[in-house]
Amino acid sequence: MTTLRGFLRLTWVEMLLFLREWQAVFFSFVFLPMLLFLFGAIFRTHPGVELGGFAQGDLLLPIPMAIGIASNAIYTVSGPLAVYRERGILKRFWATPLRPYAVLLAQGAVVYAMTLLAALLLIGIAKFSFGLSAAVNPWAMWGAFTLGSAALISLGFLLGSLFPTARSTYAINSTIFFGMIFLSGTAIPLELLPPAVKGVAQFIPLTYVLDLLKHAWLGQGSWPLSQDLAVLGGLAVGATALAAALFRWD
Amino acid sequence: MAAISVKDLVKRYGPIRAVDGVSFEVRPGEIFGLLGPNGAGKTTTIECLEGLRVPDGGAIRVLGLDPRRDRYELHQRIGVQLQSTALPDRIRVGEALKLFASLYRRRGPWGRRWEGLLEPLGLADKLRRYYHSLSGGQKQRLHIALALVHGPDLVFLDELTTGLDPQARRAVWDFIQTIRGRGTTVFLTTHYMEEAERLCDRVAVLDRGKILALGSPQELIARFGGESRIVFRPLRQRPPSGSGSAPEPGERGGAARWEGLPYVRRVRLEADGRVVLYSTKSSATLAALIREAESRGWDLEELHVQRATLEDVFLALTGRELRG
Repeated sequence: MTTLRGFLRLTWVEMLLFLREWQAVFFSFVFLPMLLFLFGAIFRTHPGVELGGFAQGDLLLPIPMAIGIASNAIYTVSGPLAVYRERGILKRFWATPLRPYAVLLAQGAVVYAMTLLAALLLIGIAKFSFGLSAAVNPWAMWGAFTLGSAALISLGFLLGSLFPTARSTYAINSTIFFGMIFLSGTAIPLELLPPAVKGVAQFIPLTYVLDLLKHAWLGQGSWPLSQDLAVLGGLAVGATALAAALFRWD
Repeated sequence: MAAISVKDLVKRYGPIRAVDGVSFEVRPGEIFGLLGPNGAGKTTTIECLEGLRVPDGGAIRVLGLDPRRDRYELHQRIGVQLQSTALPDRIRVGEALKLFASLYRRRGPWGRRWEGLLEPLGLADKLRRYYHSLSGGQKQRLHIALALVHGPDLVFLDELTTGLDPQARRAVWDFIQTIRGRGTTVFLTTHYMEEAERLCDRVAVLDRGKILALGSPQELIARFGGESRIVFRPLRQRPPSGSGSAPEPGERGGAARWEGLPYVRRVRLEADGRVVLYSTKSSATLAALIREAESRGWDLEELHVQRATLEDVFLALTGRELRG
């Protein structure tokens, strides 16, 4: 049995390790705000976009937020797991009373907390730079963010459990990450893409993360709210269970 | 009750039987060594005992527990140093110690500071260092420390001094003796015969998945070691008549020249020019060797006698050398 003391200590150490990797810190706290400005510039100049009663910040915000969730969940959950396995770090943990779920949850908790901080930073920047006017229920927004993160972090657990080497995990991660942000309508709005892509989008988990964030922030989405909740809830539970079952220490 | 009891342990990898019917018992409080060359099955055996591998056959009890079924309970009570492992690059030594200490129910005997654990391992001033900035030997010693943070009843050490310089190796041996003095049972694997001889109360010689002999190092040497070794480097003192050449170190006349000496069982010619005579009665061989050398005008440089070691035991048991 993993002690609570052990789980908390492991989570603390994982957080220190996250903060000592400048790439992950840079991405979360510098690059995502840059993306916000980039999307701001693109949409400002695009004549086809109407604000529909919202401030520009309202419409922009869900995009870098969803990209942040996807990137942190996929790269900084499964990447370290794969490296830990390849280098024999997990094997050393195996010889202690730590259990697989404790290792996964500690990793997931750190990524969630860091992504949440990044999201709060994005909200602050969006408010000052682009203006926010939507009447948002903060708890609903927090719930949407948390469910979206949980679903994609679970996908990260699964990716971190499936492949034998760190190199193959990184290759798969990139394929999945870029596939997701382009095919889900996150990087480019679905309205601008051919209809076939929208057909594909309904099989991409990130589609529902973005849609759920829009429901919570703007009060409207492209899919029914119940569908977003069902898909993401199912993914969170299913992928975590599958990852724990497939988890290998070496 | 035995600290470890193993009966007919078998582990296969495909068609290869890496561990092939191994049985032994480890007594509480002893230092027990598994000695054998690389590939003998040492790591496979120790990892079956640690509950990290599933045996294909046989029965194992460790501290009265089944390593597979009771793995989490077992892991609370044992310490483990793996042969090939690592920590995250950017974890500090102090953080790693606190992390591992927090994983166990019991508080270790080291208190809030770690001097008692780190001083003997030469890591006392390394608490703030990142793991990746440690040398190979320092990493190795940190992994030994991590195996001992919680004061385990039994500690498994897989090749504990690999990569350590001779001085650090001796310091680690002394520390392991201290740990045992506090009541921890020690199970280790090694391919250094000197380590097994100096450190272990009892040794099992493992080769190709089978135990060839088991006993205290002294018993094994007395039983299987047999011969002492007489080592020297022959140098021609007087040049052969008719040539004015200097002594030629490489010239040693082949093994046959030395085989006729009394009590010599075997002769080995080393690449560096030294000759090794395996003698069942070193005093008689030595006397004859010196007479022979004087009459033929040879100098015997670096002449010395080595008693038999576990190296010789291994050679006698397998016909092969432990190293290489």
